Amino acid sequence: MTDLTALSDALLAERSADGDEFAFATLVRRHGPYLRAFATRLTGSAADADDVVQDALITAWAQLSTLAEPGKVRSWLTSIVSRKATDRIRARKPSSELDEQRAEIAERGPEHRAIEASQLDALSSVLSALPDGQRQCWLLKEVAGYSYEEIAERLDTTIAVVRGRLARARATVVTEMEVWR
Amino acid sequence: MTDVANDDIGGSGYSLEQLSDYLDRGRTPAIEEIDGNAECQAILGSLERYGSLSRDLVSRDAAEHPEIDENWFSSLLSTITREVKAGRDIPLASADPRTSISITEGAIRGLVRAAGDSIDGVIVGRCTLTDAALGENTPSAITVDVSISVLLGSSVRAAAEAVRQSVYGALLKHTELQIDSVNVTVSDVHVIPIDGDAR
Amino acid sequence: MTSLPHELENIVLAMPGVVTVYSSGPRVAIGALELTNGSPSRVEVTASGQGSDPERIVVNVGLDASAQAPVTATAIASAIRAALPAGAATAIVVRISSVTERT
Repeated sequence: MTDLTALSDALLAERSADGDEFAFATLVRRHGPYLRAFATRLTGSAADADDVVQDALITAWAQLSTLAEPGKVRSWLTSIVSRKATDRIRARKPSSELDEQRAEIAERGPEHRAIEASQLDALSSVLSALPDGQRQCWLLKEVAGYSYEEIAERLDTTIAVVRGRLARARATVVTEMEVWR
Repeated sequence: MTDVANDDIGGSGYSLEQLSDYLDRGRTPAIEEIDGNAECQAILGSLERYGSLSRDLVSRDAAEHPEIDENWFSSLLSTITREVKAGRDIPLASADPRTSISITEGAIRGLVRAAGDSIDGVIVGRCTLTDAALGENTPSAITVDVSISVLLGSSVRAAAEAVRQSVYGALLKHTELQIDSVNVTVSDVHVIPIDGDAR
Repeated sequence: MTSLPHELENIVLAMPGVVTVYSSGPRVAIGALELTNGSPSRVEVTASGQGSDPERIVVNVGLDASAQAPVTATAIASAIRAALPAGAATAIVVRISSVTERT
């Protein structure tokens, strides 16, 4: 059996597109943790993330031949995960223009943030404490690379709402990360 | 909190919401009041940095949770395997008119892949089957295009020729297709991992 | 008592050169006998409206590369034919979905 674990994403993607499930399994092991981590932050739920990533990978298997640049596997998979995750988010509750605070997340004030071990820890806390709508817009913009139009379409809202949520998220992040520094 | 986004930044006349927009437009067309304002520039720089850090954060999350649940994985793989990428059925001869035998394009691609992989130092990438048949539903003659990755340092020409022979042989053995040609392209190079060090 | 689909699946799996039997895809009509036996067989048997001979049998196989795939597939069809009543008009379809080296 050919050892596939050292092969490039591009080669694995090509073989997968042709039906090589071992190559696809290798891609899953390679990118799975990242996709799950992203889906968890986006949906706010680890259980949802597992389902979302599985659905996304089943779709990816069927659509691999549409991947124009085989080397860009991770961002392509992230895009599919974004789609499945936002489908699930939209199905959860009626879309709301109000950004409610997530009361159940233990919020850590700026003074506690100062003693966090690293900038990443601080950012992690800040993002987790954002209202769902703001956090989703932030992640879809900064990690998935979506445009305002794409985010609006995915979250079933308007570009104006996306622009507003992103601005408020950015205001919060800048303010609280500056305190950390 | 909602006011902060609309506050004037550093006397520029622009709010964070507008800076946010400006950033996402790629800072074009250029706005002098923003570009020339120190506080605006600091904030734009920070926003870019936190964007990049967000990607790092997801990578770190992944590194901290690298395990894949095996049940989840098996369930995924068994679903995938059911959706075998069969493609068309390519007929094979049958003496009995009540019996029809065929081999799928997916099986043929698998044969081509295995034939190429069997050559030392070669790993197959893409395999494309193009039929020469015109106006028919099922091909009797095909052209096979294969792209391969070869081990760094090995002879590209020898590898391509060996793959060509191997693919021809496999298709002659297992199909009844006329092979118009087998074209091998070297599209990638790889190295053997040492001590588990990939790539 | 084994249903015909299960019997055929066992026959095919026991043949030299056969690695696996794949399911034929979503099957709308599952025979009552299959349900009473528990797990559905992956061999698809379509019952005929009249008479007792099935109208069609479809089997989707993964073969071993050691023997020529067309030869193995022909042998499979013959074995299935032999399991049916003599002279049955049943159509038999053998589809090869993979040919691999047995590891």
